[in-house]
Amino acid sequence: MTKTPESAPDAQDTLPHPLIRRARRFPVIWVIPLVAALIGAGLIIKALRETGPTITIVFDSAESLVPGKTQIRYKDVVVGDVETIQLSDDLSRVEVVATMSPELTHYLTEDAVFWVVRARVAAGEVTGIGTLLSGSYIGMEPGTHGKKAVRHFSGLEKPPAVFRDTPGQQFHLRADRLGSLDIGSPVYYRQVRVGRVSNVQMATDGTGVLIEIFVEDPYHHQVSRKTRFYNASGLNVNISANGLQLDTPSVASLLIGGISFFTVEDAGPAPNSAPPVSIRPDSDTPDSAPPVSDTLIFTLYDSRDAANAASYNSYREYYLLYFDENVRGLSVGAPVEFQGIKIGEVVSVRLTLDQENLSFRVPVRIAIEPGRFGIHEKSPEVVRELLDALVKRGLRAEQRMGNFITGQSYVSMTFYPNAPPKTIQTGGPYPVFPTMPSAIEEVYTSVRRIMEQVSRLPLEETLADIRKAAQQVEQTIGSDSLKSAIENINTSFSQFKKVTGDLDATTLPKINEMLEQAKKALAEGEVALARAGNVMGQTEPLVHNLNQLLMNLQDAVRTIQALADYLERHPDAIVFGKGETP
Amino acid sequence: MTLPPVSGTAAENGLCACHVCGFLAPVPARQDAPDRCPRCTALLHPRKPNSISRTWALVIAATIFYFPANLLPVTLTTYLGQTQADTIMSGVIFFIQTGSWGIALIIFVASIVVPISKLIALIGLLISIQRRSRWRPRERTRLFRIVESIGRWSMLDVFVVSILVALVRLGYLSTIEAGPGVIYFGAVVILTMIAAMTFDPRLIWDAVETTDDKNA
Repeated sequence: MTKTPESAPDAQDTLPHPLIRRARRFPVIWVIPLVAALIGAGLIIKALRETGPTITIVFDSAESLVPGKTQIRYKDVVVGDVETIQLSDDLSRVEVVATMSPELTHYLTEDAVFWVVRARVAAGEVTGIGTLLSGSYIGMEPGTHGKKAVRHFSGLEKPPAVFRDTPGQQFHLRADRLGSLDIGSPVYYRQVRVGRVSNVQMATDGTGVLIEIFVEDPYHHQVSRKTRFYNASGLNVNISANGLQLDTPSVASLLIGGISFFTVEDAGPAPNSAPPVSIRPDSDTPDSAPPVSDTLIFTLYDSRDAANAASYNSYREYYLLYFDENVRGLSVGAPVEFQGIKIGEVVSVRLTLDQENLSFRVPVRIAIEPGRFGIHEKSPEVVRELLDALVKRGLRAEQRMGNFITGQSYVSMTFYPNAPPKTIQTGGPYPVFPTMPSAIEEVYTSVRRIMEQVSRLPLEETLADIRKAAQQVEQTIGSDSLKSAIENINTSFSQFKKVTGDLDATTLPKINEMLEQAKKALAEGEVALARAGNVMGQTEPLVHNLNQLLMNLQDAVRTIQALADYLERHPDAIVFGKGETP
Repeated sequence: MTLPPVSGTAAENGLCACHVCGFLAPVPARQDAPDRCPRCTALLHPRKPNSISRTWALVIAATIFYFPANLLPVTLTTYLGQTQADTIMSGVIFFIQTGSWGIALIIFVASIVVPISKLIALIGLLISIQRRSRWRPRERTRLFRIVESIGRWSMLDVFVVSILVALVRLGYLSTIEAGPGVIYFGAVVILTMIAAMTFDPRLIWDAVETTDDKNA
């Protein structure tokens, strides 16, 4: 165990201590955790920078949404991921929590829109086919930069019909019924698709439907204050006094519905009467087509006709008509015409019982639109005065059959200058316009009148006259010259009979005999032929020839028979020859 | 060379074993100028040099990498255009949900339990040595052996991913790509394996011996 270390202490003590400089090197091994720490820190920073805000989107259902898988995309770029999906507190809806990428932070404002993109097969379009394979995703439309930032959104079940960055303009329509329209229904102008329905909602008072449409860029200039919108969806079958009307739009809009519009060239006063507040003061200038303000609400008409007719709807005067006749066929909406031109329509048809007199009356309320005959003053007095003057000159209302097949009738305003004078009676809720019995009623009465006249005719005398005339005729016939003429005719007839009788007696039996013989020969020939066929076999050409002969013979017999028949019917043919046209 | 009667450990007798060939040689005089093994010329150390410090460094690095390894996706499965990123744990959950309990258990044990228990075990051993703990040296040595032997099995996950990536190449239909998590996971496994190698289990016993000496 003697070793150098044991002797060393002495030397170490005596000798001056060497300067032992421990190399204070950084141990290399610690580079590894340092690198690891750097990488880790880098990952954390990256993760923090890539994590944008967390938002909550509320949907009606989480159909085809998968937490951790479903993405949020804008213009098909992934901008977020669905983290969790949970039910809302009252279980009525689904809350989708998603983390968004940080660059969208400033665009998650209150007007950002989210919807679920699924494969949709709607009439007219098929969208999102790619999602059948890849699964659905949440589409988004970023909000406007600078608006209030929001982290809670309510998602749409369908994609919005119009995206915010699409150039064009939004218009508001109001309709009584929605019809077959829906969000996304097309808007046509001259049958060109120019936009779509972007929103549909019930008016707050429930009296109508408010429809928002979006017309794309070059076409929204076509919409002016004079534009009429009408529902171009579906088939419009209209049976009225005008007959059967069948209105068909393009097949596409027939299937999926749509809105069409046109701009009237020369309209009367502004038809879009909806809220008067929205009509701007300059709207009365007739020829300018000012741009449409956002607050203007157009009326959506049921059909093109309705939209056309709408120009006169602005002002109406109501009158009552009392008909003492059957008003079957006179329905609400039936036209009121003057010389075949519509000037108004029937508003209501009722039946009232006068309890004192126990008499029924049919008050028919009509609306007359003075604008239709060029009177644009909107004062009842002016119109009343005018109508009073016309009634004095014999203007009367009457019910007329418009269409004999459908039985629809209408109200016609006609001048009867000889009619007993009447006036418009005021006093009730509506002025009462004088009426005439209808044409059919007139036919009944005139027929009755004719019958009465017929019954009053002097029939007895007439019959006596007739008898006298007949006697005179008898006398003429009884004269001598007539008798001799008739005798002559009789003799020539009997001679003629004789000639034809001879014919019958001699010629015909002979022909008959000839026929019998021919028939017999034919039968014999047939028998012979059959025998020959048996002997020689069918292949022999002789048989064929015989067959042909036989057929020829049959033809001959048939011709003779025809001749005989003809002679039997026209025996004179032997004398006069066969007529050209028997 | 006749060996003297032996009592105590090699170190007490001024000897150390060569790490490579196990040759017993006298302990080198100075740490910074180590002798070489007379038989295989490998460097002679009484203990692995800087064992504690190196192991700590590797263990810390492995611990740092353990987080991205589990948080980042290990596979990116593209099926019919839809890409799905899976972490190790989400894979385990997927197998549990589809009822493959066996596979889920294997992946869970090999990829999650083993690495983390390795790290915990190594950290525990390191702390116990630095505190010169005398607590159950035999069990701690056995724990080290277990750590050392199971280390390689953690690479199972990495192998599975690499085989899948190579096999599933069906173009648009289905593709599997390795995610960034695999790299970190592989780093964890390798670093813990190296840490287990740099760790010197004899240090466990050193404390026991020295305190014995002091007590004696």
